[in-house]
Amino acid sequence: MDQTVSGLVVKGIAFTPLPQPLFDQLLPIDQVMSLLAQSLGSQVNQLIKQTGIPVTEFERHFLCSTMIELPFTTQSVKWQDIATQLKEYGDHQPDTFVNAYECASWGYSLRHYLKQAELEQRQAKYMIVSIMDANVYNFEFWRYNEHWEHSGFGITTVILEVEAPLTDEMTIGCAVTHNGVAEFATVVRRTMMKKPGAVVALPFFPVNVQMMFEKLLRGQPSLPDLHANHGHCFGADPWLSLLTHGLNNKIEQPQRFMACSVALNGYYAIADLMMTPDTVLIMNKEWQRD
Amino acid sequence: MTKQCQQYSGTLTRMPFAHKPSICEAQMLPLTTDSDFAVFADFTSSPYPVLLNVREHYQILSDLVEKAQLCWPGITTVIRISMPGGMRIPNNLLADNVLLLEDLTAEEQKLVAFTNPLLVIEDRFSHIEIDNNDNSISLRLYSNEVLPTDALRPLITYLHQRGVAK
Repeated sequence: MDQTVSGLVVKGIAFTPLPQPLFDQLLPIDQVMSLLAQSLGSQVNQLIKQTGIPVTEFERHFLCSTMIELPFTTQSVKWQDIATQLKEYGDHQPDTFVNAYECASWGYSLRHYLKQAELEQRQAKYMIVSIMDANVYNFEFWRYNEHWEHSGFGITTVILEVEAPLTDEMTIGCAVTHNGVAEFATVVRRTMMKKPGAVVALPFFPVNVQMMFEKLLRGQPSLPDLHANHGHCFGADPWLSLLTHGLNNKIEQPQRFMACSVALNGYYAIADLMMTPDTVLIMNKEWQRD
Repeated sequence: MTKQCQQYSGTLTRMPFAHKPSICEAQMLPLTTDSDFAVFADFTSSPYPVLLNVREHYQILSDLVEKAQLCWPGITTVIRISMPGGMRIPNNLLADNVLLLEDLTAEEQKLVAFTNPLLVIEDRFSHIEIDNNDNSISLRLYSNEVLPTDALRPLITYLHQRGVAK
């Protein structure tokens, strides 16, 4: 059955752009990760404070990434050390790191959270998720490649409230064909048919992929692609899109959106949600090492 | 209520799919600049042998999850997967009762308190020398109910077939 509103409400979005390159010269990786953890810890506290939600409301907090993996894969950095540093900013900081689902990691993490709440027969109220993508080794592939051309890097935190029992607000899945991005576009269109009034916030891609989206979405309303401004910012794209929209257009009444991410390997996440006049929107200055 | 836990630890001692040709696919990101190569050359590498590729690793995890589903339908399963492997993860590992994490510590602690039953799969199979993995694997099965002796046996038998030994 069609619903006119989503039970999922965006309470706040914060984004801190990261410069390219991150530093003039490469620093030891443990130092880089510590500096990023400090920036993340502050951002999380900044956003929570402005939403006015007590920090005790957050039972889980995942940190997601697409392209931060080599520090952990090579065991140059241990996640537990980063989690310990984040804990200095409070127990509500991320304690778990998810990158297996690449750009869709935020959606798979939230799905897990909602599923566990359901199994424990309790209603999840607030959910928080952070996304961090940083070119910590300054690899050329992550700066620019043929899949999505320029990349953009940043730290993002999103707070959602489950205002009403959820039905089909989260669409999480994986393409079955090898053209994951095109298949994703058809899933987005199908999902939109069930969400009257929703405006889609898509991942940022070069013009050729944007044209494919336009074709496959057949004129469904969507927020502008910001690839030319930011590059492809991995799982942060739809949140950066909503943030930019909210800052440029005063939201005077609840508006419905679909935040969509797709990974190169075909995993996708679509969240049907509302932005309201109360949604806290924070666009920080580009991060600089103190 | 006391949580029951059964566990198993072993080490991969040989190539897991004997008598089958296996592609050597390191699946690393392309290196182009001098700096890329310098960074790569700086990673330490472990003395442990590389015995499988990402495809075979995913196959083992997928088979373990399939067997677990038969034993305990719908069981919540957390699996340590460190890196996006450059290929699509098998479908049953993407199911909503499975979560793939870099480090299991915090989530395992939370799930043990409320989730019943719970399976944890934590391996350090090496795909490439610089991952510094030691080819170990651990399974932990938690349950509120008394578990039959050797409840993990179907999974352990499978691991033995794939060359894992205690």
